[in-house]
Amino acid sequence: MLKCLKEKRIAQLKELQLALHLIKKGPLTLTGLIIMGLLILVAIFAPYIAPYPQDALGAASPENKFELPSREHLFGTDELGRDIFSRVLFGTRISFKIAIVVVLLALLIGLPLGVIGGFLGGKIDELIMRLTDIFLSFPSVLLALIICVILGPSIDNVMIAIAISWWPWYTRIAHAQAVSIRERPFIEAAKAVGISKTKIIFRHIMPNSLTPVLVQATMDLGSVLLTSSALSFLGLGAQPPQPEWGLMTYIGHGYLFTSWWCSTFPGLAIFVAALAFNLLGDGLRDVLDPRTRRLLR
Amino acid sequence: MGVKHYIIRRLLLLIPIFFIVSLITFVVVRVVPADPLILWVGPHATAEQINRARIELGLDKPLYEQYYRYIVGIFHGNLGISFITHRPVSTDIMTFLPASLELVTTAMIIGLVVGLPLGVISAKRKDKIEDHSSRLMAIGGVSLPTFWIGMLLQLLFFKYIGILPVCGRLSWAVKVSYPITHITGFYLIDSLITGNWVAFQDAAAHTILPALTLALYPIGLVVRMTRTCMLEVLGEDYIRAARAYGIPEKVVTYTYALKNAITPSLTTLVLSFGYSLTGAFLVELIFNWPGLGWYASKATIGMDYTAIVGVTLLITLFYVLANLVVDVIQAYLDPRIVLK
Amino acid sequence: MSKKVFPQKKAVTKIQAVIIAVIIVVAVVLGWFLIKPPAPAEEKVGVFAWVGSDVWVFWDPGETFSNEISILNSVYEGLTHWDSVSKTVKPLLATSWSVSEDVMHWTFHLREGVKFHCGHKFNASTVKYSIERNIEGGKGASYIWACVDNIEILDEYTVRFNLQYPAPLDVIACAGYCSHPYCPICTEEHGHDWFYEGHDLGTGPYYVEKYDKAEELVVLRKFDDYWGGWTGKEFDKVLMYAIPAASTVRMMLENGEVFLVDHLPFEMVKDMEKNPKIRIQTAPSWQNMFGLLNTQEPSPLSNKLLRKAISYAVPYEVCCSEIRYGYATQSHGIIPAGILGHSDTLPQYNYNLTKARELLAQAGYPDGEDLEPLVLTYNAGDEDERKFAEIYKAELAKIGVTLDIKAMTWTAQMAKAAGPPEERQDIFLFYWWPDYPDPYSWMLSMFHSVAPEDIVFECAYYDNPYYDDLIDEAYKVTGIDPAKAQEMYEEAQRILIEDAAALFIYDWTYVRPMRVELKGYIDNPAYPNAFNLYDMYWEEK
Repeated sequence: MLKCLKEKRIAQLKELQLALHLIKKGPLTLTGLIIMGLLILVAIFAPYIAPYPQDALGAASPENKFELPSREHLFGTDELGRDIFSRVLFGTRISFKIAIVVVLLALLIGLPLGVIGGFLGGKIDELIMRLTDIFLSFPSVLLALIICVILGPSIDNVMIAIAISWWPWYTRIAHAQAVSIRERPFIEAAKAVGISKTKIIFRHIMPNSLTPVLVQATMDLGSVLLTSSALSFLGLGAQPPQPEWGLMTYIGHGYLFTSWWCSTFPGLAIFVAALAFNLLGDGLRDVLDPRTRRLLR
Repeated sequence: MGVKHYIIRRLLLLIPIFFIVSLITFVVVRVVPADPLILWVGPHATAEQINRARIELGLDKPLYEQYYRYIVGIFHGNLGISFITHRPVSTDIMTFLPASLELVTTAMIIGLVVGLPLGVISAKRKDKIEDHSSRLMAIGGVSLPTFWIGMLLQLLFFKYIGILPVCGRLSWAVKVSYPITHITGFYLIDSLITGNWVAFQDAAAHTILPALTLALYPIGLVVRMTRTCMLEVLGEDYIRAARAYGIPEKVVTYTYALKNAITPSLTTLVLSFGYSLTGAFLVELIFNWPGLGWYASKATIGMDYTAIVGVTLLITLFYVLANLVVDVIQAYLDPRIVLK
Repeated sequence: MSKKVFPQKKAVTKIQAVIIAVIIVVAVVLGWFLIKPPAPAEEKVGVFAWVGSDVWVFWDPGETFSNEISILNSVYEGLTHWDSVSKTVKPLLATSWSVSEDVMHWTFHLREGVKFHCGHKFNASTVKYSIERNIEGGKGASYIWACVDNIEILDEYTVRFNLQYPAPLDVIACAGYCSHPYCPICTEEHGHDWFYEGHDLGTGPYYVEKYDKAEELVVLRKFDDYWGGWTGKEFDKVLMYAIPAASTVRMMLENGEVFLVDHLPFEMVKDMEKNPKIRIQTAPSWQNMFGLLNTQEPSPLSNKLLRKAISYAVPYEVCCSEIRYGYATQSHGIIPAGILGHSDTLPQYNYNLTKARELLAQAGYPDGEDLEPLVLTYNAGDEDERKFAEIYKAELAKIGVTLDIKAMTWTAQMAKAAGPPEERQDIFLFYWWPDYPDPYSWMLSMFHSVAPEDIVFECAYYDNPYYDDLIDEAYKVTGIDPAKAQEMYEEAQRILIEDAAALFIYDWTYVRPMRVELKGYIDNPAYPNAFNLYDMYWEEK
């Protein structure tokens, strides 16, 4: 028993070593990690860093509108005279919230469905997977768009809309994973001992199929961010005066050729955050993907 | 024989899918309190006019009856009338679809032409500077908000350099003086085969920026896929054998390895085609490209339900067909796959 | 040996491919530079632009209701015409008219020698046919004829309208929508859908030559047999473009590819003021923006003092100067200047936060305590409305009132407003303009009491029987005693202002950027955004 644990520990250490090695080999992952860390700091300390915090919270001084970027206003001011830099800083919070909540929501729906279907098999499995297929054959953006219009524009509804069009992917991955685990000896053993199905699903199958789903989820954070900002760009997401990046880019777009800074900086923020998420996700996949791992050795 | 059977079976499967997709969309869109009639009747309509239109269009009937009517209409080739444009949805789709197809196809071609070499270089020079930079480009490509990069391109090429038009599909002056004869609906092709050089020139100039913007995602996709596949294939025995025979490295890479590594990239591209048709809506909005995504997003915002259901059905059709094509091609290329 | 196993047959094709590629590239590059744009045609062509898409929606003259009047008002003509300079009704297809003592019978004498674009003759029976078809169809703005009981043909060029109740029919006949006679013979022959393919049957100076929905393009050509005749200065052909991107339109205007545009964003207008080739023409309009306040329970705004308090929190001057760059004036009541019922003597709320705070305390919410957030809805995508909402939110925050801004699609905004009382908004941002030169539609459509199931624009949910009687009576006397009507409309507006049924924000000023060479364009507020093509011409300096 002890030996078994020790082996496990050694295996874990090896994993860690490998991960570190990969991060060292790929400066990109490291870059992603650093940007991410900075963004998290910004999100936490936004009220203290922002030079004009009130501008992100609903103040307006239209007589200062469209000021060029300067030392007072690093990113310039928008059509209502608000400091774009402060608003972009505050926007970090909203964007992180959206990305994380959506992925968690989608996981919450997708993972149990996939695992239950994969483990139980039979009619229930068939039903779940057909449902998943139908959702997948819907044009996902259009679906999110429709849901958004129906629920009414708000950040919460954007999160729900994206999560609804997102979960089937996780169901698929979890399903495949559950099917492969189902046949393993320790599950057979658990069944033989008479442990209830619910317990098996939540104690054994779920944790063991988690890894690939989580990898996918990390990689999806960037896409979720982009999708949500796209919906806000259509005016279906955040409501004014919320400093949401997509909304700011959308509003600034109307003034693109007279005041380029209004849309450029919020858009840049979306790009940087999505890039950080994607770099991290890509690195993580390399670390956990056995194929690339084999190649590395 | 087997393949034929398989295709027929898959196509038959379309019918239930169509039913379910149309039912879900229909119900979802119709239970909303938002009333497209307000668009139908015009800006200052009276309550009486709205009620009259409701009866006229059968929207006072129970939902199942409305759906039944809709389905019956589809069998007669009638997708209903759009509330926004006041024209048959089928006519609208025929108007806007070719523009989208042209844009997406151009973007896919750019994606392949740029993405494949980058992917190969990335794999060949693994963990070198070329690899990192091409991977960075790939990841950057998929991280770029399309609407933002589209705006930057407009700023650069329209405002500051001033060599490309900011948006649209054709200059209005060309539309009037050099109208394009509609044959395929692809302006680039139509203008070329009718020898309408002025229009071709104009259409090409209008296509560059949106196609480039839309291509960023496919480029990223192709680079990633190609890199992974190339890494795998380059480790295979037959490649080593080829090298051992003294075949020049270029031939090994581009002829033998790439041939096998290209299939997954192509598959992904074909699969993403259906999605791209609506996914392109942001690019179409930014560049005012009169395509299907543009139409669909306007319809959705106006709760123009006939248009929404029509477009959804069309995209589903594209998606299912693309899947089928991919499956058949894969089976053809790889004898290990058995279609059943 | 090895060569045989892996033959290099690609080598030849590669060279071929390169050659072909080079040829293609050279051809394209040559084509690009050698082919020059064409020389302009001989005829006088006028080019106009509209910023937007789906501009020309309703093509049946019995259904028109919207921006299609930008061109259709040069294609169709009504019996009478509103003259924006003299502010009176002028003859058009009717040369004169008379009204009975009780304002129930209107007789119009029609112009002779007028032809429809199809060649058929215009006479009394065509008037009867068109207007009866409009009423029967019940679409578009046809409700303007609701007062008509029947139409009698007295002789070939005289027609009499018998009404159900007194109404100013000469003014109604001025309407830009659904008021135009069109050819009965061809309408019966071709039917409704034919119009939508881009055809017309009007009597106006221009006819529709082509309408291309995909290209968002309309071509009009001058009608040689037009009864008004031609001086030779006018445009032979008119191109109307609907261009969604303002930046494109601006470039085309500055290059001279477009002569006149319906509007451009104010930042661009300010930018273009320096350009000597561009003239910015302004004119007062009958379009105004206001915020309807929910006067019914359970909205907190059912408290009149609270409504007054928030009326004092609107920074009216800032709204005019910053949202519309000065191209607006603060409203006096609900009826804009230049139309019956308007008066500069009506009281205005001014921006006064001290007063707002006092009233807030009197209303029972000192410093906004215990007051739930007020919900404001506006049409998503409307920049002016959004800016107002955000500025207003910032101002209300200063007196302790929270404003919840909801950008909604038009359909959703309307559905919410007509929903059950507890789900309705508190403030409804909205625009209005009249369908014919009469103030009744403002007073009726927004503030008349109405059964809950019939709510459309009555989003103040205002219920005041005295007010209802007052405006209904004013409408009836308009035809014979305009002075009396003016008095009554003024009183009705005083009531609305005293009750603070709405935030009376601003009346628009039209801003039209055009080429300096373009002459003859006049904004007529009775026909919002309609281009008077027949009066315009091009004159080089």
